[in-house]
Amino acid sequence: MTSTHVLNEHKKRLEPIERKCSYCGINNFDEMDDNYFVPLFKEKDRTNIIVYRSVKFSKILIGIPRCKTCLDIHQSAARVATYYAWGIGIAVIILTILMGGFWVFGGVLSCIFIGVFAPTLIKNKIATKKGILTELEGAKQNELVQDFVINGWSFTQPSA
Amino acid sequence: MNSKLSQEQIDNIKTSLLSGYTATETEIKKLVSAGFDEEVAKKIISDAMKSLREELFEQSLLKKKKEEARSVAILVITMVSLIGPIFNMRSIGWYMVAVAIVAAVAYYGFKDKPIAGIIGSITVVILFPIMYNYYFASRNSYIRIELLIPLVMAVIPALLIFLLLSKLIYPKH
Repeated sequence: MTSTHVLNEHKKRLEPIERKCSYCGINNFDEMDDNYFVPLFKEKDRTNIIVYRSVKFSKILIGIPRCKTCLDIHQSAARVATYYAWGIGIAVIILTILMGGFWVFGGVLSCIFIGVFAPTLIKNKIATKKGILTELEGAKQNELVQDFVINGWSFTQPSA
Repeated sequence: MNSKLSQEQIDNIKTSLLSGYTATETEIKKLVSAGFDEEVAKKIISDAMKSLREELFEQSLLKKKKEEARSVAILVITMVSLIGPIFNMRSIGWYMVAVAIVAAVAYYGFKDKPIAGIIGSITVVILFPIMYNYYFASRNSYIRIELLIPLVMAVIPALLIFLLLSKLIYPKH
């Protein structure tokens, strides 16, 4: 337990005590599950022998207070961003099919690239336009998250 | 009654707080004995803690970003170096393109030591085909893992050049 969070052993996460939303700074959260639980990772052990690579890591979920309105904005932004990104990707494929030949291969690759990377960009753009912080930016403002990162934890999962 | 800190006091507080969060009480007492009101002292220390935490947090994120950029750069440089000899590319044009690619990638991957990174990476691209031809010159067959031997033979001199240039050009790092 910390002074700002309590450990929920059943759900294996740190739940916030502070109720004020970190994303809009106005409302309080109603339900614990409305909060954003940012995953943090820390590498425990790495084996790297040319033909065999493995990594063991710890994971923890830290709750960032989030009101119902901000939750709705984040969720709808994620949905809309996915539709937009794959829509653009499919449009690129159709365009390259019309061009024919080698272009189709480039179109498929571009579609996968857009489908994987563009949703986050579009989602963040929508959240910023609505006047609230993105999920990650809100998490970065949290003091407990900052303390974990200072002590070697990371927002990205270690890869082998 | 005092309410402003001197630069020396700010630096001392930062140094003390870096040694652990238990230092806060001691620092508040120090400020009170230096003539600060207790509430003002608490606020000053709390603000100093906040700014220090944000500074360290940004540094940690930046360090992580640099590490990730470096890993990606090393992977790309290795792949580009391998392409020429493996696909038997003899055109000088390909090697010029390869040098341009690794120079650009090394610039982003080694942003704190760009010159050392660029020259070290170009060394791998130029040396690998030479080592590859030298190692496999009189061979009729080989197993894939053996590719690592000429690669290591090219990487070692490149690494030495990188370290030497790092020491010469960026002695503060």
